[in-house]
Amino acid sequence: MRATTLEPVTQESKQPSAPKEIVSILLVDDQPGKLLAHEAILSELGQRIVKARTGVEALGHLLRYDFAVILLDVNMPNMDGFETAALIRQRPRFEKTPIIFITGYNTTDFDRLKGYELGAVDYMFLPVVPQVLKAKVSVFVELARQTQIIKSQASDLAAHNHRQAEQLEVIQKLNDELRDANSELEAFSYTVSHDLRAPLRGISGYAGVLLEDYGSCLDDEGRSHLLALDRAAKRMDALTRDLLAYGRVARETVVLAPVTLQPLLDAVISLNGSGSTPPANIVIEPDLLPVMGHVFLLEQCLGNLINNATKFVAAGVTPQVRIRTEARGGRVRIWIEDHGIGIDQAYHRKIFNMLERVGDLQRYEGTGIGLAIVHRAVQRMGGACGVESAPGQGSRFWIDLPSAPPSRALHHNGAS
Amino acid sequence: MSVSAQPFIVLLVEDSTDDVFFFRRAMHKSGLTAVTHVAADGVEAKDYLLNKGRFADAAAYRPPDIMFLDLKLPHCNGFELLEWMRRHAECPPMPVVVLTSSSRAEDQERAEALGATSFLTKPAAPEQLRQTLQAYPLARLPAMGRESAL
Repeated sequence: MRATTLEPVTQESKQPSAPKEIVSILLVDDQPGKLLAHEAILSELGQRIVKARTGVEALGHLLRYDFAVILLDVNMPNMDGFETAALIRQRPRFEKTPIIFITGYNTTDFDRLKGYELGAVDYMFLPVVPQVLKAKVSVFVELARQTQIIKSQASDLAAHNHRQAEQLEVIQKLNDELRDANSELEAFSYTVSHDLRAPLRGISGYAGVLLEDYGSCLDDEGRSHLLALDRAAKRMDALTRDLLAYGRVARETVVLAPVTLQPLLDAVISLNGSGSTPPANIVIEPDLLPVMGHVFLLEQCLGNLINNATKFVAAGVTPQVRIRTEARGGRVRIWIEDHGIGIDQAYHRKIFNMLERVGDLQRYEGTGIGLAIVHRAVQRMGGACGVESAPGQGSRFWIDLPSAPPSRALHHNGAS
Repeated sequence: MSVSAQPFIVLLVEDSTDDVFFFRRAMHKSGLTAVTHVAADGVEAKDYLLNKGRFADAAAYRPPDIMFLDLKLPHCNGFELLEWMRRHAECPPMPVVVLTSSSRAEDQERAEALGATSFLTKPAAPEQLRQTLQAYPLARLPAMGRESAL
């Protein structure tokens, strides 16, 4: 699979803390003294102050800065304040920029002010009262700063959303790749199970034919070689089958549903057949409690545990197996108990590992995968498993699973 | 063998020559008297059922009394053949026993839904074949074959 980096989605706290945002104020006045005085008053606001002596110069500054507010002297030679304002307003960026006209107490000017959009414009009469000027300007400064913060937050948010969308896309792609890989694996497993096992069936089959049809032509050693050939092929077949089962247990999509155990056990036992000689005596206690499980995974668990229970007995002994359930709080413990050879406590954990065959068990047929399948399947169903056993005293394997509401588990859901 | 009755026809759809060999051997050992014809894939099976191609001789290749079907086949697999048989009314009705190498529950369910009657895991033992053939009300199973089966 192609490697794709996946960065964690982090809330980048580029949150502009309000005091850091500096905005600009434009002062336009033809009298340097007044400019200086206003600058002195407004410098306390801690913002950038840009000064212009004429309307033309003011328009020049518009190219370089955004302004929170423009203080415009109405009475200027050549281009007066109103003319300048009209030109400022022509620029889309400054359509809404607040303008404070500084004017003498003059009715004509006052009338002309009315033509401007309310809110975007204010006026002050000369002489300017410092506190009033500062108060008015600071309102607009604050407004501009808030706008700026909102803007930068919006762009942060947009960038964040964009990153998130990109990561979603990456996740989506990974999911698709995973799904593809899974279905490839599924197809691969199927091919393996069919094509890899077919030749083994052939080897086993022809060994059997040789024994049956030509066995009399061979001496004991020749016949034992053929039997060994058959055993080897069958062992390889069992290994292949168990590895495939393990693989499937590991990647099966697991959705837990109520499962009634009795029919599942009947199916598992009939499938395994009377594998042991003499045939096992399997007792299933009535009224087994339903569990929350997954049919395929449970089949694998029960099949392997029952198979073990009937397999690991002393030669010639009829295997005795008892299956029962026990309520344990919100969980159900399924017990599979035998009277077999038992397991030394030292191995109780080890036996659930892959390909682990311990102590005396070496003498018995097996792949060493069965209990690994059980362990993995139980894990995938959110359960637990374990064993209580001692040599010569049989083994009591258990599986804990969430209990199912009895009413909903009335019918057995047929298959995985 | 009964002289008057026409022989019981088994159609085995199987691509593996080894498996064909084991099947024939098991049939022989089962003691049942039957003629086993082999189609190597789904396409050949269709030819047989329609008496086309190398199975054109309708007298030699009579409608099977039972079919044994491998699922994984080249060209036209077992599922596709089952589907085709369901769609084609001209196809003679017969029990279909699926021969599988893996007992995958979903394969069995799918085959069952498509009309498969039962399942046998490969290699089928003589005893299993005998039980399978006797499980169906096969009126045409030659009496002698039945006798020897018991």
